[in-house]
Order: sequence, then C-alpha cells, then structure tokens
Amino acid sequence: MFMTNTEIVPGRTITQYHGMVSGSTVRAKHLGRDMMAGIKNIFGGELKGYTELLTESRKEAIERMIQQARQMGANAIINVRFSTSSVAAGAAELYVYGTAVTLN
Amino acid sequence: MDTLIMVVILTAVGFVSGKIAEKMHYTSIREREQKTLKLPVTTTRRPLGVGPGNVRMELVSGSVVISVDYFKMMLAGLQNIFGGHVTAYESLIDRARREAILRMKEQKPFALQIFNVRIETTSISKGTGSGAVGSVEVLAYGTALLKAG
Amino acid sequence: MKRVQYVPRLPDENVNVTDSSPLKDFVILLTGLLGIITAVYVLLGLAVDWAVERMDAEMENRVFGDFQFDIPLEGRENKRSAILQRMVNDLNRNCTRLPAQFKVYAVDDEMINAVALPGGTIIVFGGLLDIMESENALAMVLGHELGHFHNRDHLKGVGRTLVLMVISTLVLGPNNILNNWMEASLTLTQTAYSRGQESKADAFGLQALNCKYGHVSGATQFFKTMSEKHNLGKVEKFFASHPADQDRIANIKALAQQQGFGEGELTPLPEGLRKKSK
Repeated sequence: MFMTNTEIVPGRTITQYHGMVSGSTVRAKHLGRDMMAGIKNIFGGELKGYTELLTESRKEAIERMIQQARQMGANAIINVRFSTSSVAAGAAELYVYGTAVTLN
Repeated sequence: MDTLIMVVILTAVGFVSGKIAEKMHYTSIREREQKTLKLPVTTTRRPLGVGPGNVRMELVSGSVVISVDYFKMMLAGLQNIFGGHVTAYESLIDRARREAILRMKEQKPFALQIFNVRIETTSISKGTGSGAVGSVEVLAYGTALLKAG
Repeated sequence: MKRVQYVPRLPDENVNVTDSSPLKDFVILLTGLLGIITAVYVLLGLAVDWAVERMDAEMENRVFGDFQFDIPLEGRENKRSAILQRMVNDLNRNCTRLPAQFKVYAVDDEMINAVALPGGTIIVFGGLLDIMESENALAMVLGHELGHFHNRDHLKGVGRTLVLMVISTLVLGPNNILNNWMEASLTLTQTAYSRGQESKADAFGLQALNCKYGHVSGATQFFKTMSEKHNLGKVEKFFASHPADQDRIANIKALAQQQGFGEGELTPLPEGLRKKSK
C-alpha cells in the first residue's frame, strides 16, 4: 500500500478514488510503566516507555487504515493526516485518515 | 457496603444501557453510511474527478458529543492499569467520528463531493486525572461542492 | 486527460475497534486487580501488625498523643466521663494491668457503641450507657475495650486503614473511580478480620470482670439487650463487624464455663450513670 501526505503522486495518475479511510487506536501502558514515567518526569529526558507506546499505536492505526483501504479496493492512500485526542488519561489515542485511491 | 451495592448497580445499569445504545447506534450508522455512499468524501485539497463546470462551494460541518457509560468507564480504568488496547474507548471514538462525518454529509445530501475534510477530536471531561468522566466531541468539516443554481 | 472515477464501496468490517468481549475483559481484569491488591494489602497488613506488636505504649503516646479524631469530644469533662474514668483506672490498676494511661470520654450521642482509639483514648457513647443495667455489664464493655488495647487492635485498624489509603492514592490517584470498587471490597475483608479480634477482646473483658467482682454475672446483658432491640437478617449478620449477638453470648457463656467463672450478685450502676428519666 502506497501512502503519502501529498495530493499528487509524481509520475503516476489517479484513476479511481474510493472516499475517506481512517484508522484509530486507543492503547495504554501498564501501571508500572506509568509510574516509571512519573519518576522519570522529575529528572527529565526521554520517556522510552511512552515513545514505544506511541510508535506502536501509530503503527497499528496505520495498519488499520490500510486494511480499510484494501477492503475498499484501493492501492494507495493520499493526503494522510495524523491527529490525536485525549479521552483517557495515560493512554495514547492515535487517529490517522486519508483518501483511498487507485493509482495506475 | 452501601458503596459496593451502589457501584455494582451503576455498573450493571451502565453495561446494559450502554450495550443497547451502542448496538442501536451502530445499526443506524451502517444504515446511513449505505444511504450516503453515493456522496464522495475526500481529504484532498482539490475536488477529485470534477471537471470545470457550473459549481459553487460551501463549508459544511457535523459534530457530535458522546459519553461512555459507567461500565465502560470502569473497564477503561482497568485496561489503563494493565495496559494494552483500551477497547472501552475505541468503540466510543469510532462511533463519534463516523457519526460526525455522517452529519456533515447529511447537511448537503445532494452535493457532488465533499473535499478537504478535516477531523478534530476533543475530550470534554468532568473532573481530572484518570477518574474523569470520559466524553468525546468530534467535529468533521469540509467543503461541499454543489451544482450552481 | 481521463476523468478520475468515483468507486464507492464500504469497508467490509470495522477495523477500528478491537474485537473483544467487554464483559469478559472486565471480569478478568477486575479479578486480577482485586487479587493483586488483596495480596499487597495482606502483606502490608502483616507488616503493620508486626510493627505494632513491637510498639510500646510510650511510643504509641508519642506518635498518637496529639492525634485528632473526627469524633466530637464535646462535654468531655462532664460527670459521666469522670465516673467512667475512675472505673477504667480501677479496673486497669487491679485487674488488667496494662502499662498505659487511659483517657475515657462519655459522648452525648444516641449511638450504642464504644471505641478504642490510638493514644489510649476510650470513647463511650451515651446510647450505650443508657441501656446498661448494672455496673457489671458496664465493666464488661470497658474490659472489652481494654482488651482491644491489650491486643493492639486499635493500632492495627488505624495502621491498615492508613496503609490502604496510601496504596490506593499512590496507585490510582486521589479521585479514581476504581477506588469505589476497592474501598467497597476492602471493607468486607476488614470486617471479617475484626470478628476474630472482637472474640478475643470479649475473652479479655470476661477475665477482667471476673477479677473485679469475683463472678461474671452481667457479662452478657449488653448483647441480650441488643439482640432484643434488633433481629439481624442473614445478610446483615454476615457483614456486621461485631459477630451476631447470639453467637457472642454463646461464646462468652462457653468461655465462662471453661474457666470456671461463677455467677453472683449484680452491683447497681453508679448514681451519675443511671438513665435520666425523660
């Protein structure tokens, strides 16, 4: 699956479009990690646990979006945007959306 | 003792009513998505597949606020402790986003296309910390392309 | 240029929601959480008990001497307090011989109860004094409270509650909704725990009673009156912090027989404690 956050793909033309696709996920780390992050907060620096959590979540959200696009019969997603929300404290809520298209 | 009974009752009520509400909502979402399928929605800055012609544009938006039930709030709290997918909130946000997009589409059902769609998610919570009551507002907005005249 | 074509199609399934059974997840997670908390609580509770048993009365006074309680101690210097104070001093000097100074307060309140608090404070509520029929019965109640001090139950109770509060606040934050679940389930374990302590305190009180009067008449009067006042249902019986009155009467009687304590003449209540006619 080809993905881009631009509208046009140089050298290829869009033959069909299928509408909007999106992938979202809400994930959390277990309490031990949350507490470690709290301690780390005192000293500053990278919160490895959370970096990992966000990376994993983003990957999963993208995976879900791709799955949706595939089910719609597309072979590429253009104009991809990321967005987050914060409903649950201490959880990563990733949202990614774009337009499913078919490139020739 | 009273607290336990209270909490058990609230959780049970939340579970039953929340389940019914979610099921009904999903049924309605699927039905309306099928109905509005003919209207294309894209995230691109320019409309796709529409040639020059007699058209006009209009900003459209749809928004919705949905709250979790007591049971899901409990479940989310537990899932937050143990880590992994917070499934309690996944369906909440999914419902809210699809509903917002549907409301946006229903504003101009006869549009040729709605393009440059953006989605904003905000949490409206009462209280602070992980004990906050979870409710989510989703706003979907875009530009509708309509036949002029 | 060829026109871009719109091919509408809905996704076959909802990929954005993890497929799972919420109820099953909930039960599994809740059981897990309660299991972990219970384990931590029991372990820390044992640690508290261990520490408390090594804490002498002097240390206790130093730690809890200035402890503020939520119970209004108004009217603390009244006549009834003074009489009760004398009774407790007498009982402790001659019979129980606990190495501590006790402060006894009578509080004007309808509640039929008496409590032992850290720092050697005993609070007797007016409702309890009103149903006392003899000095012997009152001595049994006071002896029972002294028994709690002897077994360090008052410190264990406070210590465990403190530990519980600290854990739940640390783990869940001060206003987490899950605290409700925890709190509620922990009160259950706490009451089950204190039932054993109550029986022990009863035994201690009985010893004191026999020592003071040479017999144990009046020991069960309080419980008899209570059981006449209200008949506990089965559910309440399970959750009550004090074992059901009938069970306690039976326990005390069995114990008296076993120890060879006899019956005798009841001593009337001191003048100042007799029920005020309304």
